[in-house]
Amino acid sequence: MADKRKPNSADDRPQESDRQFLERSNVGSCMKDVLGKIIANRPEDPIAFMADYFDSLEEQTSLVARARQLIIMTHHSRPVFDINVRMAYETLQKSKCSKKLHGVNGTVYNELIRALCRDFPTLVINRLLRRIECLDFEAVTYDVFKSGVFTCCVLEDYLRLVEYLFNSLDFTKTGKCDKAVCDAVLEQLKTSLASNKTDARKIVESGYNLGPDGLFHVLDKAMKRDTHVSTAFTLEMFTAECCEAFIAKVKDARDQRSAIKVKKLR
Amino acid sequence: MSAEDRFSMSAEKYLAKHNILIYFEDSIAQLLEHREENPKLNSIKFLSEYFNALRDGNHTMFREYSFVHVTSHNRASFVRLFWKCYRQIGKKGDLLSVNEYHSLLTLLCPDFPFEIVQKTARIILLDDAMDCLISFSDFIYAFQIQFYYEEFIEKVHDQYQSLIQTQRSPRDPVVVPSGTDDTSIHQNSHHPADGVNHTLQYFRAVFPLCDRSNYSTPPANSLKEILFNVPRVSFYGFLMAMAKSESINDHIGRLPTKSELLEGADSELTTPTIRLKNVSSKDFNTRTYKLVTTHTLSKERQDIRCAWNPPSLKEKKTQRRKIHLWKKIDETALRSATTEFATQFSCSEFQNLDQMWQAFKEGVTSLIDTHIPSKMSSSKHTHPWVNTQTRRLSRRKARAYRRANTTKNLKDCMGTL
Repeated sequence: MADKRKPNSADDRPQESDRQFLERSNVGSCMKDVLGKIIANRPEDPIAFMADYFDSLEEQTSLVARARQLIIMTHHSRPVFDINVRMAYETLQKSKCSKKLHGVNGTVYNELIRALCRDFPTLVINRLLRRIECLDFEAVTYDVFKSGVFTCCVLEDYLRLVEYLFNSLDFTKTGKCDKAVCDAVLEQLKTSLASNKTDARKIVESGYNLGPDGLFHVLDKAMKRDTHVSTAFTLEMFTAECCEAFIAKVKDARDQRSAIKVKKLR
Repeated sequence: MSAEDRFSMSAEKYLAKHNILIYFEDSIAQLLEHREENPKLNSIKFLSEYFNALRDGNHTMFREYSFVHVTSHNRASFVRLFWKCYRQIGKKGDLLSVNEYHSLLTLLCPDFPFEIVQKTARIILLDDAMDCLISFSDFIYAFQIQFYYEEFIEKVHDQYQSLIQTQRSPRDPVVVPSGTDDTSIHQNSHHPADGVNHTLQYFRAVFPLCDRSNYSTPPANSLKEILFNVPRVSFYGFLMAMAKSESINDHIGRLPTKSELLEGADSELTTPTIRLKNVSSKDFNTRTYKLVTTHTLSKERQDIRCAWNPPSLKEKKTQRRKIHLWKKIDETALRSATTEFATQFSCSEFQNLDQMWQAFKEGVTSLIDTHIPSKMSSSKHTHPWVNTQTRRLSRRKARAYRRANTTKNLKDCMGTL
């Protein structure tokens, strides 16, 4: 008995060459994989990227966490983003729905969306989820998946810009802005976003309205209109207002799908 | 670097810029080296630890000079490591000589060349007497500049020399420095004529050297600040100004500002840098502590190897050994006791090195004795391959042999065969 166990222990294999060891422990393929990912994604800090990569390999994280990592690997404006999202979708497809069934259902999808949005304010998350959430038992197709993920990524950028905008409006640096100023900017933002035309001229026009000149015009008017001190806006309020304008533009996933269903029925 | 740059450059260039291939090679080399010591190594875990240490800047401890020197990240991490390890010296306000600083460095990196320490001393002492004592904070900032910008400093030195040459050549109009100017900036120099008069000219010469990709350079703005504030500057004066510049220190981003350099307790250090925010000296403690354990472990393994050797098959009673149960450590108690010991140790005075070592050794062994539970190995000699079943069989064999010997019965004899 004791003799049988011996050869299996690692102490007995000093003859194993370095190459064999590397092949056995799969280091080569890991390195190839991470190098490919680094070149494709070009992270800002590749060392941190590698550390994260090997951490997630070692820890055997959940599928959702892995998918999230794949998605946030690069900015959504990069061409690799599509491939990453596809890979994330394929990763999630291994998740179990029932005993024999594997695939992406609403539960997993919602979990991923929540994971992607976890740094957003709760109010924004709730509003967003009301738009792009799927029902738990629904099978999520790639198109729906991609649009949801993409919305999250764009919204993240948008939130950052909103904060930046607020900080520049907050010229007294007290954490609060004048309501009149905020209202003027929000009004401008909403009208620009609300134009639903695909007309190129309209788009250029709304772009101009949000540019420095357009904003200056509006702000100037607002400042002239009322001089008395009105209530102040905090960052949360401002963010909520801005996000409302954004989320209003997000297509309701449920409506879309029901429309498709209706078409099919006909 | 802006985002466009990152994406528009070729893959090779990108990899070279971040030294990724160097780290890849090194990680594999380290992995193989560790495998020789520990064959049951989980390579993925090892790589994960390696890159985490790399990210946090803890990776240069006890590494060879060629590795410490190879990338700017390594260099900056090493400077930080030096600061973390020997901050106590600075706190006590001790002044050390060049040789002593060099020995401290060799404790962290065995083959650290003396030359760099010497050059560092030259920056601080302005090329003057080399056997002066240097304070810790002066040393570390100058050392950072010298070590981190080594190539840049060499280039600047060349420029400086050529500029001096042109100044001295008889064809150029001779600028006679007024005596007051000279003494105010350059009291320490041996040669009163040393120093570049036109800092602007000097800056113009230095400026194209900035922002090169093949070696790290200080930001041009900081240099401008330094050079535009003084009418004339000597080479070492310039380097010293670089060492004192907070903006250059910020640019490297590893050491805290001078006012915060010596602050903070040993165990809970608030690190100001963004990149290293999750590193504290705690990591350092655990690392050394790990080192100690692996050392003793490898000793134990050697003991086991001895037991494997055939000559020891038939030997007298084995010595009883103490076995430390590392898994059952009360970590918080040990940690607090260790920090207590460290503070006590750093406060006490010693006449010579032997005494110091004795005190340190006694402290550490007493710490181990009191805080690490242990058991004694059994005095009976056992081979690792003998389990209950083989022991039972061997006893049965001995019993049968004895019986056959006493009875001399043929049946019993056959039984033993």
